[in-house]
Amino acid sequence: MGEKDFNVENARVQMRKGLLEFPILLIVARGEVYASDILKELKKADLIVVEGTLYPLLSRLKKSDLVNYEWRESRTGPPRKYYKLTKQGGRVLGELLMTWDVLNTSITKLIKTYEKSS
Amino acid sequence: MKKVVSITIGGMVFSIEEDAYGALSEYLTAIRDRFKATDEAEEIVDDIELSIAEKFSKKKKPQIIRSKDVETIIAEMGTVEDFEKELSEIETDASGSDDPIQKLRKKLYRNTDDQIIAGVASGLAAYFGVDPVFIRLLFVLSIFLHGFGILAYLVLWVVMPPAETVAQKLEMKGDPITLQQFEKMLKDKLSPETKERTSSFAKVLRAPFELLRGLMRAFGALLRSIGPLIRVAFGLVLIVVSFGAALALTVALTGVHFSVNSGLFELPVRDFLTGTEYAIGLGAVYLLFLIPGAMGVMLGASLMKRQNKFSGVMLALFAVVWFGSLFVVGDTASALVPQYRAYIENMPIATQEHQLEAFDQIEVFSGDSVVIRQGEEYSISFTGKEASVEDRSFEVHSGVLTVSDGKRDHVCIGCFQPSVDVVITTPALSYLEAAHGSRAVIELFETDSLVAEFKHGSTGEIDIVATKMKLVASHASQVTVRGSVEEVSAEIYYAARVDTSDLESEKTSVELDYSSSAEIGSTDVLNITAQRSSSVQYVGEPELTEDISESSSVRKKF
Repeated sequence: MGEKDFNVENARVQMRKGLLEFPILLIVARGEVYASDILKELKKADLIVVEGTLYPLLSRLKKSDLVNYEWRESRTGPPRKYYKLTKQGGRVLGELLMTWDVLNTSITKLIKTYEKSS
Repeated sequence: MKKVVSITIGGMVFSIEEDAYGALSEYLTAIRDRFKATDEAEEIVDDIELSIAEKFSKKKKPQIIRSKDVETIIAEMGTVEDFEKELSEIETDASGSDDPIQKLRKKLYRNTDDQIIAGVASGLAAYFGVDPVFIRLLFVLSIFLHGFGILAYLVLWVVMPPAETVAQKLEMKGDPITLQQFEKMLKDKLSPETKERTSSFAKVLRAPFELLRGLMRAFGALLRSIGPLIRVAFGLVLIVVSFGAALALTVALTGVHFSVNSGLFELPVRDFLTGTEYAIGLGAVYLLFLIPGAMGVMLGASLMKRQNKFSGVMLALFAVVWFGSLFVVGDTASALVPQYRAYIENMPIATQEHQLEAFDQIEVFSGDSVVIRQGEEYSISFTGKEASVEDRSFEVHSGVLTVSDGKRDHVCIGCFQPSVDVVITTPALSYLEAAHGSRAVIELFETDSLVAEFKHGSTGEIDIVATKMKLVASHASQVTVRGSVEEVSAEIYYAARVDTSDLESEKTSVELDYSSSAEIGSTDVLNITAQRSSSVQYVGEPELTEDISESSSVRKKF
């Protein structure tokens, strides 16, 4: 019963979408990147399923003044937006890193206790 | 064979097959719609277009973009549905209240793909998820409920928009907006058999309503274009009227305040209320009317400037103050009423008596009760509440005595007029007029001839011995005459009533009009003219002449 009600895929999606902004900020923080770079990284880390999701998130981060971008010409295709972190974005990323650290520690601890007990 | 069109995405030109273009543009529209509640819609769509352009430009050398390419790209980018799944709650919240779960939201459209008349029934069916047959059956059956079905159909026809775009058709059915759905719909749209399901009969039937819809749409467009003008004009009028009303109220209340202790204002409000009560009461009355005035001015300003000048806090404050004022006014009034009643009860009774010069005609306009007595002298006396007695004025002018209340001609705020008993003594009487709800009683009077007129709801009791008498009763007046008069003539109109059943006469002539009635006592000769729902009853066996018309009646009374 309980197994049927609990949708594993759904839980995974929930975890991922709660996190998504954090890895995006991490990637943008590395230096000047454009959408395709970010997508490549996220896909490699299996953090994003469909590409389109990135754009609303970037737009939101821009609106919240966490990231900024500048236009650059491309020789092969259309012009690109190169993103970089703002001061405010750096602060938020710092806080998120701290939160992640705490979360990571406690989850790891729980997992270890679980492994020991079994 | 397929048609190829040129498009520009992200500043780059591509050649694309027409059906692929259709799918792509529907996809972008769906995304734009999904984010339309935010101000980021354009930016997001631009980003996605840029990304699509980049993908297209990576294809090997000049190639035409086909449906398959678009499909691949949409699969990579994700449908709107995928977006819903992947974006965090905050994101969906930020996209506004405009329905985050679009795929579940059904909208009511007319289904123009499946229509007998205009697609109302199939649209409703899609909305409620039932087979259109049932809805159609309901419509047909409800025609027998006084034609309700027809009216309902017509109203819905005008109100429900047709599902025209693919997105609207999906909204109508409540299907999720995905590429697959779009493709399905696009295919359906192009296949010929779903077209022309409308019979020519339905087409003829439809024409006037499509015309009506067109007219309403045109009217709507007209309203939108002259709307701002009307809005500003209406706002201006509202401001002027509200401000004027508030100003007038201020002046009026100031006037009341300063006249409260003057002669104009007979009600001694200041004696009833303490200074504080009076001030609070007056202030409350002021606020009670000032707040709607202020709201009017603000509403007018909002209309003119097209921005909401109201804030929730202010509205709440206004509401609280207004209801508070209402309560205070009610409270003050309920404190006032018993005091007022007692004040009138306790007013001293006064009697005034005056000797008069000769007269034989009397006019009573004061609404009082007047008794007329035959006596040696000419005199008048008033008995009643002191204030009323002092108010009464009388005058003898070329043989006519006129009794009126003195204050009727000038402004009097809060005046009250308990009536006064008047007794008039005179040796001779040839004319009496009672008006404005007065009551005149003539005690046994002997005279040669008398003309008596009763108007405006006055009443009369006349006990008389005379040769000739003329009686005029009008406007719901009621007159009783007894005694004996040789020759009587009466004009009775506008729902007046005359009773002469205790009067003996030789010749009686009555004219009645407009729902009037008369009871006639014993007489030798009786002439009756009765019009418009009037009625006459008489006794005995008089020599009768009658002229009756328009549902009037004459009956003998036993």
